[in-house]
Amino acid sequence: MGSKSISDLINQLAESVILTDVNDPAAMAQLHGIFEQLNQQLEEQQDSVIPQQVFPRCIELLESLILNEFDDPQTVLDDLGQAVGVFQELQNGEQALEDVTFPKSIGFVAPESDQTSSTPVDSLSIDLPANVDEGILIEFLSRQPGELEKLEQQVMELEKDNASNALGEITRMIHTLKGETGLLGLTQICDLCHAMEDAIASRPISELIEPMLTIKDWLERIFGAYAGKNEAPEPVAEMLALLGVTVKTDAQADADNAQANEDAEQTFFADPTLVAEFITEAREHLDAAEVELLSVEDDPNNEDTLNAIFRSFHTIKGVAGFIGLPDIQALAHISETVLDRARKHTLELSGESLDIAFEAVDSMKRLIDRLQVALEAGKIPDTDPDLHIILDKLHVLADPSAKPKVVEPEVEPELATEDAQPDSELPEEEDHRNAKVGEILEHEANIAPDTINKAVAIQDNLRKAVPKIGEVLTKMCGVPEEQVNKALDKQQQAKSKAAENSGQSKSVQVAETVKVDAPRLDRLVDAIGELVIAQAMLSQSAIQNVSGDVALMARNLSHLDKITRELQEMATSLRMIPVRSTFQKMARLARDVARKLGKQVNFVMEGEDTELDKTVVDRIGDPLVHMVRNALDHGLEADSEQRTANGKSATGTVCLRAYHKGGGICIEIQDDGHGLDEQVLLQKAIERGVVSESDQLSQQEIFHLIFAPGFSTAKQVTDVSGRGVGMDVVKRNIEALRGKIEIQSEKGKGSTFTIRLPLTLAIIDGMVVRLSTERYIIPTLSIVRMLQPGEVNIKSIMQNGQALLVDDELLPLVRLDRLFEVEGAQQDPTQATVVVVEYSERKMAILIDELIGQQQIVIKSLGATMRGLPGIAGGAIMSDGRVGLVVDISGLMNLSRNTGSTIPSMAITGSDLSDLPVSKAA
Amino acid sequence: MKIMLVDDSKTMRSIQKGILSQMGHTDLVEACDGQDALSKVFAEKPDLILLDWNMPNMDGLSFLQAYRQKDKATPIIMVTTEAEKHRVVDALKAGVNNYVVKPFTPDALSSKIAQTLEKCGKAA
Repeated sequence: MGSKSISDLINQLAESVILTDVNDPAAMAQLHGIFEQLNQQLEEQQDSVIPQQVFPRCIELLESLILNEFDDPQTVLDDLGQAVGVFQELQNGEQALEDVTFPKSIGFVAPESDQTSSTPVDSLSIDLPANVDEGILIEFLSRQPGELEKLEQQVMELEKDNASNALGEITRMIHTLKGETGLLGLTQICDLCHAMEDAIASRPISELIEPMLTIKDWLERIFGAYAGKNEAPEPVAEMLALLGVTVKTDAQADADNAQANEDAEQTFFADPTLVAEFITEAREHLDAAEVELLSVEDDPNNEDTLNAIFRSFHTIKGVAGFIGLPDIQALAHISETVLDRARKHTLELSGESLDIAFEAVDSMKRLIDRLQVALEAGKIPDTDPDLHIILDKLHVLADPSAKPKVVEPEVEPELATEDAQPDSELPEEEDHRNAKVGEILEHEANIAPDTINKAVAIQDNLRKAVPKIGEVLTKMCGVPEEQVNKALDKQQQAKSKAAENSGQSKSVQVAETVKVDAPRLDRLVDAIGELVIAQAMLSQSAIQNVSGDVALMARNLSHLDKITRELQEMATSLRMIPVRSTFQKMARLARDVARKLGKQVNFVMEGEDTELDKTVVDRIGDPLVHMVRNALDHGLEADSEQRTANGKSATGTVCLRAYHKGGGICIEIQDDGHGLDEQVLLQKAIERGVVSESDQLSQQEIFHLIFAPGFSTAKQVTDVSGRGVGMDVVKRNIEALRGKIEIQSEKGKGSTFTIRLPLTLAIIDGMVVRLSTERYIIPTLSIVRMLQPGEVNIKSIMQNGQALLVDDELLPLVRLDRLFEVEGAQQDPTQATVVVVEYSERKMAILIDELIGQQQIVIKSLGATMRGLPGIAGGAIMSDGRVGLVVDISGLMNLSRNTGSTIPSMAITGSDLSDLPVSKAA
Repeated sequence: MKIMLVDDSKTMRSIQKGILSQMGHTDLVEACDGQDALSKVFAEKPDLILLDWNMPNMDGLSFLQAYRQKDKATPIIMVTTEAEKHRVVDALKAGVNNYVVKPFTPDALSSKIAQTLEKCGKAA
């Protein structure tokens, strides 16, 4: 029982290794498994005839094979097969360890065999490429002294006899060396060989004899260095210089990269819908990451959270790689690395590092925004000039031992690509697609490449000053200015042409989307199914009951009615999304503001799952930003001592909550700070001339003074808030959403701002009323009560006309017929009906002829010409197909207050509008 | 031939769909994570699964282990990234048939699919 014997395993291995195909990773993984088992068994069993040391190497080779890291995998697999053959021989006692040889790639040399050719790997004196294969390298290095000697011999022969076939031999040898070093990742030698090949093809041989001999010596030394025998030689650049090759400066390489990126970018916009999809998805990921990061603050070691954030960046990176977005990919990559460290607990995200993580999210958002702008314009996204700042910070976190990277390839493409406007310092205007000025000069003005290379080198030295290539050419290399200017013109033309082209290319709009959970859609589909059935039943009953079974017909009709209503509700609910996303942004904001202000704040959120119309959720963001900021800055006491002195905890609490109330939604921002001071508010308002001293204001009206334009109670204008713009914007925004703000505040205990919002903007419950022959709709939400007044209720007040006494409250009586100039309406209040409406704690009584009934209406705007009519919120199509006007209560209050009676030259009735095109509300 | 795409990124699935349809594969099923895939895979019976490794709710490995308990035959190609390549060997041992590193070209994916199907005895 238990594990198989070693000989069984070896036999199994021998069988498998023959059957394994290099193109079948699964089979190789099985092989890998057997090797591992064998390795484990041999480790336990010390006295085996098979050297256990061989196995880690074999396993390593197999892993590399699976990961497709060899150019010639079959050879490596064959070597492994051979090794297994040797195992068999050893196991069966056919051979002794001294007599067998393993393939060189296995890297195992039997104790007795000649050791001079093998090189101890661990004594290498210069750094090898990270993933170099040691076994192969050793084999390669051991061969080189002989090869180089042959090379030297051939070169000398060539020197003696130009016509000999030595050149062919040399070329072949260099080519082989190039291939081998390339495979081993010894890139500098590979590049050198390549340069030699080029030189042999293009230059007279006599010129090359000396350089080739020097290079041979150099190669000898570098191979010796790899083998740990001697010091590393001079840099490869000197060898390349012998061949007349100028080493590419970083700047050039960067420019080349930029060029390559550009090529990639030009192709990727072939599928803009994909990019649009990516934008939406990336935003979701970033929002999620932000939320998770917030919770990291409280619980820095929660692996699930860290994993989730990691995954967000991971996905973004993956997709960006596919569609060719180098900036986004770079940022996602480094962020991913940082988060990987965090989830592996080698880095704790807290304090500064957490701030950097937040910054990474923000930067990524900016990049996505740029991408969207570029996409919508049909252009290639430009680089973010500030990207390197965050990249540097992240690099430090990703690898604390490394120094921050100074140069960011993607952000400085201007080093070698001349900007068309030499004076412009705006990196946003850069474009990668230009031909280099140097190239143009070379072509058009016959400036020698050497001169340009020299200039580029000088430019490189002056990186910090970032000189333009054109300037360098004129100042330092004596190229006439006119030529440079000409080249610049050419570049400019090419650029504008390219811009035109990209302008014509397809552009795409990132459409607004709403995520709908599947059950909701299922219910909708079900309801539509029912609708179809109900409709069929109805037509059936219509056919069958020509004689007229009215009861059945009526039943079916009411059934249909019910389904229609349900459908409408469901359709509306499709637009409903939780306020969560907006709330989470506030949590982030609160955190940042608290840090900035140096206050200890506990930010609490409640009811994030409360659903609101998507438009409302999107638009409530701006007002909330102001209100949360205000709550933290002005609401809470300036420092914790002030709080503790008042018997409160040092940490202030700001609570953001959403809940249903009545037919609408309330969003509340509550702080436990010092509350609003009525006296201070009033005084300030009088100072600013917002109100006069004689005005009698209710508490609510005093509180609402903070919404007056230019009104700020802050003694000091801070970085965060207090400039007095803000709150009036808040009020306007909320009123635009047909919402209202209420303020409750107690001095010393804190304030609560409550925003009441309708569930949806599209549909309201309306009370249809008649005035003479016209019909108007009053939003049910604002109606307090309706009554038929008696004589006793009616009071006459000087100047202000009539008033109505309802429940001991004196309310202004508004005659709609006078405001809207409708003729033939009932003038006697006792014969008419009164609707009492309320808006921001103020009430008024509207005189109408008759109530018709309640109806759900879809508000439609009256179009551009009729927009902004005072007292009218919009139009609605009534059940008979005519247009009814929706009364705007707040507007009506201002109207009746300001004018007292009629609005001159403003006679509007529904019948005037019935033939107007009614456009859908935005 | 029916192919199932399991990836939490919709964009990534779109990319894969695009590549696959270029190759003539239009019979595709999508799943957004391991759990989703597990709930669909036995009803849909795909001929091939392209499986992302890093996903929320249920990752590629967990899906694989659950799925391989019931179905050992259907070929699965793991979609991985350069940075995650170290997981390939474990994935293969757990029952993945092949892997492809993203970003991949249509050619790379196409040859991986052909290879995999050949090994599993199905015609491409």
